[in-house]
Amino acid sequence: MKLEKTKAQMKKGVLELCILSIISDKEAYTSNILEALQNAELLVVEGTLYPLLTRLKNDGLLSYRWEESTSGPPRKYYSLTVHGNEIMESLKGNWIQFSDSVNSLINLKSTGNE
Amino acid sequence: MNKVMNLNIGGIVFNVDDDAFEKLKKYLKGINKHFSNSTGGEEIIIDIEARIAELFQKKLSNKKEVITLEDVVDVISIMGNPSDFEDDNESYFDDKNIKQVGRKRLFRDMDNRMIGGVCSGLGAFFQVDIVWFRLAFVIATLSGLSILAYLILWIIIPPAITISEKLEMQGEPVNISNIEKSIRDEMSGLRDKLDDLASQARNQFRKKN
Repeated sequence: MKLEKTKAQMKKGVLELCILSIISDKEAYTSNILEALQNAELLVVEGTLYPLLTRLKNDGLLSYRWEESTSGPPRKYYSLTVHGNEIMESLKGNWIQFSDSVNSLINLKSTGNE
Repeated sequence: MNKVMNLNIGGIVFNVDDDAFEKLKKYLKGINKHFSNSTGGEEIIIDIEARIAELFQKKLSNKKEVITLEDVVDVISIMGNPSDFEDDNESYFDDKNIKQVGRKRLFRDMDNRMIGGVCSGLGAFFQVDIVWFRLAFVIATLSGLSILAYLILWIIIPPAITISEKLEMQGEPVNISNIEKSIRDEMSGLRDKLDDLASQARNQFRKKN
């Protein structure tokens, strides 16, 4: 169980950066975000996403608009605010630096050859 | 066959059988309870219900018109249990969101007192500069009423003596980290006083020589 917990914590650390990046590509509706995160195996259960989105929105990183759907309830389409974009860029820079130093620490060469 | 009932989820009406209804009701209740006290909780609950409605719709077709227990169990496994999304409320952005407000109580502030700590306590409680309360009392003294009022307040308001009382006076939640912080503050205050004493002693010593 301990191992699973450590892995989950690693994922959690990058989850916000990933969400912001997905939305920065283009306006995204919750299902799009869920799909992208699940493909990357970053999300175990969907419920995790909703508190996160709401918090990011309340912090002024995201905004959304409603769109009617023919096949279900109205959908929230999220987009990044200017502030959200700034945060994303900052996190991205941090991640690149961080992953580089961790990779070199654990002797994984990101280019694959020496 | 089970009894079928209508249920409105996320603004859409579904036919749900008895077992499914009970299971879903319990699940939604758990979610409500989990989020009712958190920031933006209501919105989160609405989002989750909308997603459940969407997942239900994917399960329905011309041949299948009723949501069964199996569907509900499946949807719950996709959404996860409230306990699974617990930790995500804390993160680096939301310092301002998770800042808890502790219960605030009126105490006499013994650390900043002039006489009995009544004005400083009132200042801490209403978050107003102490000067205004002192000024008000001094001005009101001319009418003769304020001395009596001050004495009564002195008697009825308890002094803040313990650290948790001091935190409550400031409206800070009483938790380990705050208690630790107060102790640190007090220790540094003490150190300043000791430094003062030491320098005074040094000065005295110099004068003598």
